[in-house]
Amino acid sequence: MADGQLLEEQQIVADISGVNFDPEAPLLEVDDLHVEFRLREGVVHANNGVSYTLNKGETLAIVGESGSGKTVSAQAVMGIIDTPPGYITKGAARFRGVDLFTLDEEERRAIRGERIAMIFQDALTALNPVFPVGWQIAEMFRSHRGTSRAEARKYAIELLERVRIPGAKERVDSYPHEFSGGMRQRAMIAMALALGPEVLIADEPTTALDVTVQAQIMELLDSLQSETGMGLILITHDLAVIAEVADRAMVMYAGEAFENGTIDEIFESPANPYTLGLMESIATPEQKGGRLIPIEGSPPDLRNIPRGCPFHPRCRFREEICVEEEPALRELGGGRASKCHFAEEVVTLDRS
Amino acid sequence: MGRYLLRRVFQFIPVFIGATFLIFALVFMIPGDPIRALSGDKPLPQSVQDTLRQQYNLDEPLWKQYVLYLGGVVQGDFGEDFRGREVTEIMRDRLPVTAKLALYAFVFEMIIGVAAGIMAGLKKGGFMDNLVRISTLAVISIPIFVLGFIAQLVIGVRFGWLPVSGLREGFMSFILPAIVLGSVSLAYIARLTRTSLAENMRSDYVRTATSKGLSRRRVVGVHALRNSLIPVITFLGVDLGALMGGAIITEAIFNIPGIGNAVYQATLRQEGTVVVGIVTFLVLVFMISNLLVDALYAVLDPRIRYE
Amino acid sequence: MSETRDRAKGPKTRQTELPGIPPYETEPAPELPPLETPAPGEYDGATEATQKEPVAGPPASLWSDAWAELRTNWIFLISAAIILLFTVMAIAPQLFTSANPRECFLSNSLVRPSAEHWFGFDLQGCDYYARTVYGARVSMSIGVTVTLFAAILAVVMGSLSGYYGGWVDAIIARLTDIWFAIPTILGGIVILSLLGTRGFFQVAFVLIILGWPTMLRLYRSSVISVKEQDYIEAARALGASDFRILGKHILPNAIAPVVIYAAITTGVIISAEAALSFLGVGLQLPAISWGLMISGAQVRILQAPHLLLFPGIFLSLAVFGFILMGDALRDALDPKSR
Repeated sequence: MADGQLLEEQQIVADISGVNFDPEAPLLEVDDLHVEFRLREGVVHANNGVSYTLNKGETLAIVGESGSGKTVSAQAVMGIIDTPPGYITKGAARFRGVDLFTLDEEERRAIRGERIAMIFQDALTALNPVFPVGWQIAEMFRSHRGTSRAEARKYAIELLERVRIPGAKERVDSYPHEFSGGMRQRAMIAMALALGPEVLIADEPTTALDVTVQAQIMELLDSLQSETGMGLILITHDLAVIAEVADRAMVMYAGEAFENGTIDEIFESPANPYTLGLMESIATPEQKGGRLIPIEGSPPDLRNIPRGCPFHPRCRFREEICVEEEPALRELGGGRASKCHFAEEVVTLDRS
Repeated sequence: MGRYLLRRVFQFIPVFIGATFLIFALVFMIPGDPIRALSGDKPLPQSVQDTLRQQYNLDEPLWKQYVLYLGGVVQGDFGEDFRGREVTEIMRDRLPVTAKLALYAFVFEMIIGVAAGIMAGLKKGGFMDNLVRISTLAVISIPIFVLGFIAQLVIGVRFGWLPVSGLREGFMSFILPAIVLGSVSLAYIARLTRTSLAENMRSDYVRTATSKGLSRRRVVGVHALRNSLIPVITFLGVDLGALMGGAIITEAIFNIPGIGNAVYQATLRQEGTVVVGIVTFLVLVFMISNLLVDALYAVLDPRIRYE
Repeated sequence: MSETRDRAKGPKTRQTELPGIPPYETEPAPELPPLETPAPGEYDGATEATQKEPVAGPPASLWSDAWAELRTNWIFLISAAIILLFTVMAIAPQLFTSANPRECFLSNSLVRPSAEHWFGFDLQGCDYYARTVYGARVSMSIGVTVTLFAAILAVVMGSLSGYYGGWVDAIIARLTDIWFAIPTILGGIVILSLLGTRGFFQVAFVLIILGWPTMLRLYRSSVISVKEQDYIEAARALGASDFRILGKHILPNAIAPVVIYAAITTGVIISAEAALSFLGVGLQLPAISWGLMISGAQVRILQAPHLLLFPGIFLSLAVFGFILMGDALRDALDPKSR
């Protein structure tokens, strides 16, 4: 079966004519990505310098509040931003060393779905309501590989079983609205995994689900990833969700990467006041009876990002320099990076 | 699915009874002599009046009148004209003509309408889009009879490209009337398709389909279109009603010997029985076609099958 | 409750008649921002006597926003200008022509347009320009009258149907189903051909009868959406009577689709009256109706196409004005297209 197994041992042969992928390069490398939307009301700067790296078998969590630009960065990688009004003004997205932005549409389409796949938040609206679920999964095979209907349908059933949907054989012809929320999400995952992509981007995969179902889906993603060795990007605003599953995390704010690091580092010793604020705002059992500590203020309007450090209006450690000068995303060693003038000080703060 | 259809059929029956009763009531319950209503100002010879009186059972109590009338309708008796000719007889010759006209109009409006709507919907704000927007508005505004006359004058008379009257030239004779008949519906369909497609193109599932790496042609042609056409199909049911009304006018203008013309002539001659008879028949056809469209709708949209 | 709500929404229920011209943008979202939430203490049931009348000012959100937007929308302005033109023409035709449309001299029969008599003369030798101008009166008054009454009927019945649901709703739903089974023009022909005299009232009456079910459906589904809103619940909790809720809270928020449809309908009614008159089942001579004029023009269409053209243009323009207005209103009142 030509899906599921990541071609670990094999050479990543150029399956698109003329494109030479580098098997040594990291799976996905986003470098200083800038995306803007030119609307009637103004230019929305959705991404202002997003950089991250994803390696094989790694789970990267992209964390941030709504409107931080996390989804946009993923959409840019997938190449599904509507132009107009969206424009990628700067930066690169290298998949196995090849900058996707330099490829033409046909080449990108060959990669989309086949090498890099994406799943979305609400499976009910993300799946086409008028086609059976199995048909939509099988479509991946029929369209990309030219598989026959019967074969493709068989693969679809296998995939449904793989994502642990009971009674797959019967349900393969059911419609999306006939599934429960959790089942639908699994189906969408099955569809994304169909051709054995090397990167799976999950955009808020559990936000629309009940808490118990959330856990199941996360567990499913985790185990699928161990099986296939694919890279997983988890986009979410829910910190609790990623604690178990992610290896590394990137914290986004106002369309920029504010901090990069391993999960442990991010959770236990954040190097950025924003990250610190996020961690503190998580309700923990120890805080019972006390007050929740939110971050004051709200995220900036992306048409009008504050001068200097975008977070300075809400930062309790703000100094003069924060208002004047925008900090760069500085390496702190060991794959750690933070966008803050006082990153080192924040790291060594005692978290109480 | 079966249950859904069964429910629709069950709903059909009371509506059928209601609609026929409504027509019946209008004719026979209006204060005054129903014979007068049916015949207008022209005095009818006593023999004809007697025949009418007997046919419509005017001596019976009202409820019985209706029941007998309904019974007649169900058996295919739609009344007679004043010379004793059965309405069904009148319709027999003319029905195929109108059916052909309606069919041509239908095909015309569907093909052009959907095509225009798709082109407009895909490039929102583009030239095609604005063109469709303005022209559909204009076509809808111009009453069909004005359109018909203008078409006759310009295309038929001035340029002589197409015949404007009668059916002497077979298929060619149908072209202009069919275009005129279908024009307003075409405008509706184009708008509907355009809006529906534009809306669907913004939907989540289209985004998913694109993410799956499907070709644009497939995303639009298979995924978006299937959903977009659902409201258009819905419209078709209503459209038939509009076509019926339009056919009366179109056949009158282009002198086409169809059912519409029969109604028109009957109204001119104030032959109420024929008018009522044919309209009852047309209403029946309309209701049945709506039922069929309901069924078609269920086939297209799986979400409603389990209502 | 949720069942009726589902029936109102989305593709689940196929409406047998579309509400007017398909929009060019998306349909107005049924959820409109609230007019005003009752301030605490407003509906204090215990102190009825001291109850203060809440000021029913214009809603800060939807309507004034819409007006601000409309004022600069050139589509709205053009359509408003057209409607205004015809309104004036209908009320005071003397402003446009000094000739008498009923003063006809056979010697002038079918005289072509000239500088003095812009539209020439018709078969009877009447000044055609005058007749065309006076024709506006009939069309405008029928359009407005029918739409107004149909709207009132629809709002009243739709309120009951939508708000109370249950068997009231079921009966009304079945009734409207019956109405929808009969296509408009056909129904019009049947009814009108059986009436002896067909004056303004008869024709208007028939058109109202044929037209209100669609408006009713529209308003009903709007009411159903609005009544689920929290502020309605709040008003009810504070003791407001049903009548008050329907009139003060639901109406202003649910009426938007009806307003849009009313504009479009007026155009459609004008067109329908003309069609019926053209077929000979509408208004009768000596009424001056564009439809009648065009019907009369048939006979000599080859010799005197101007007889068709002028009323045809006026008719189309009037209808166009109203439909355009509906489009403009839809753009302004649709919260989604902001």
